[in-house]
Amino acid sequence: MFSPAFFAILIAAALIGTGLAVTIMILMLRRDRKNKTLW
Amino acid sequence: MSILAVSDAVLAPWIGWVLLIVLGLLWVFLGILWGRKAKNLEGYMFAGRNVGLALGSATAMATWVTSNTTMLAPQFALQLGIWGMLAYSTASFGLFLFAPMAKRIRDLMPKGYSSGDFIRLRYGKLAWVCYLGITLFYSITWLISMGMAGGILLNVIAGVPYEFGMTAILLVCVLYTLFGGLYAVIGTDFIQSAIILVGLVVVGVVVVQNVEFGVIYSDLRTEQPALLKILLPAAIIALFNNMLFGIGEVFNNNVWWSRAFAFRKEIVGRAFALGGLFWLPIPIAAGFIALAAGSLGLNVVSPDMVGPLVISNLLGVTGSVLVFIIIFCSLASSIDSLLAATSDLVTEDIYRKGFRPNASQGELRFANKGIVIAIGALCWLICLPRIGDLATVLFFAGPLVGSLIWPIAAGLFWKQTNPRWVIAAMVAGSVLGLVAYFNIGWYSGALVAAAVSMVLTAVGIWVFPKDFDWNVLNESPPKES
Repeated sequence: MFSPAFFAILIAAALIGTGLAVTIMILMLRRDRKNKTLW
Repeated sequence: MSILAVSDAVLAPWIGWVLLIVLGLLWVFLGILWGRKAKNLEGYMFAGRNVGLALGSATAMATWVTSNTTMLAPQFALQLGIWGMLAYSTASFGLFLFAPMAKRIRDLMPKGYSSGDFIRLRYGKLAWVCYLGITLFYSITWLISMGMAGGILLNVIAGVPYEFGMTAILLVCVLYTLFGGLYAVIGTDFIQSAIILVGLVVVGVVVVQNVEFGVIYSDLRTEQPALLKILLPAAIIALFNNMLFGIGEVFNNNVWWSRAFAFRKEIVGRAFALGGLFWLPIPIAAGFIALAAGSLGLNVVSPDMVGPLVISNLLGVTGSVLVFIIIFCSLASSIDSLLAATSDLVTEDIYRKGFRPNASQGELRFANKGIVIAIGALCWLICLPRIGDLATVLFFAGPLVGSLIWPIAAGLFWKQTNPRWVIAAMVAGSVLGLVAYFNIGWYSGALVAAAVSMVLTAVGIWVFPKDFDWNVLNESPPKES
């Protein structure tokens, strides 16, 4: 049986990871726009 | 235990129509705007072959987030528990493993047009025909599963008749792909992926605020302890099957190859790896929502709608609007990519190579647009009768694409890969994978297909090696005018 701690950590990590992903995407977009390497 | 039905939280049909029209107009407007950058065939099909890291990683991730990710991941969690969510996450391995392959593709085929070109030049015409049969079947199946999902979504969330909703979503995607080509597809993918990720985080936080982890866990332990089991054989097989299915889907399909041709050479590998990393947590973030259904006292009548049901129940109209937008973006980000990449494949491999070898770039661009419309119309016709559930439609293609993993990977990296054994690997892998699919279960098809195909490809490399000149892959592009 998976433990309650594993369950909570897995879900929390997934939500934090999803939030981080969108943050990194937007930061990369700003950098590419600044460097004119978007397209 | 209170029992709630979907109808308790659905949107008024007019809200559904307003959302559909606003989002549809936005994507078509952006398609026209970005489409103006496409001055020639290279621009239209490959966005000038100069896409940067931000847009590259976002489009890889967004294309891989389909309606199946946002609707099937919760279904996996509901039926296979924690392993189900982890199993779905392993589909990101396809993007991770494609990263070095994409770099290799870019090196070997700097002016490449389609995945079909690679198979034809590397293995010959018979392998090419087998490959086209499998990959076109898979692409159309993927399109159908999403067209159907779109119709079902609009019907369940906003009461829009299935036929109208499905037609509207397909029409919007066909229009902006038609106007903007890959520029429009990649540009809209970035916005769509940002919306999907933010939406999933918001929904996840709301679920956690309303039902604590401990409560969900203890309810599951009491009501459905199997979902928390470490040793759940069907789920563990599903994990490996899903991973191989994901790898097969990515390796075979022109959706990913066309991106490998379109991304800048220096960032192509990193863009796919980052796309996989961004995608990895999504099935868990979307899937765990389903596990809260029991704690919320929801009666899940249709497992593939459990995610929207939970969100609508917790957030009411706002939740339904959010679900609508997330799933619409998931659908559009994949349908546009598939329309663009499949029409590229048909234009290059069937129209140009089959009928018009001397066609100019202008003629090919015109043909490509006609093919986008034809593929959209074909998909619409097949979606109309609404046959099969989502999982069945999706997983039927698993054994077929599983059989292509080794032929493609070996063909890119091993000079001695033998074309005859590769054909045997594709055919035997597909047939035995389908036998397993029907006789053992959907969760075993890709596994068997990949295993059979691996053995035959390996025999071809090590027992009957055949040398290949890599320069053959660097084919000249169609003439300018």
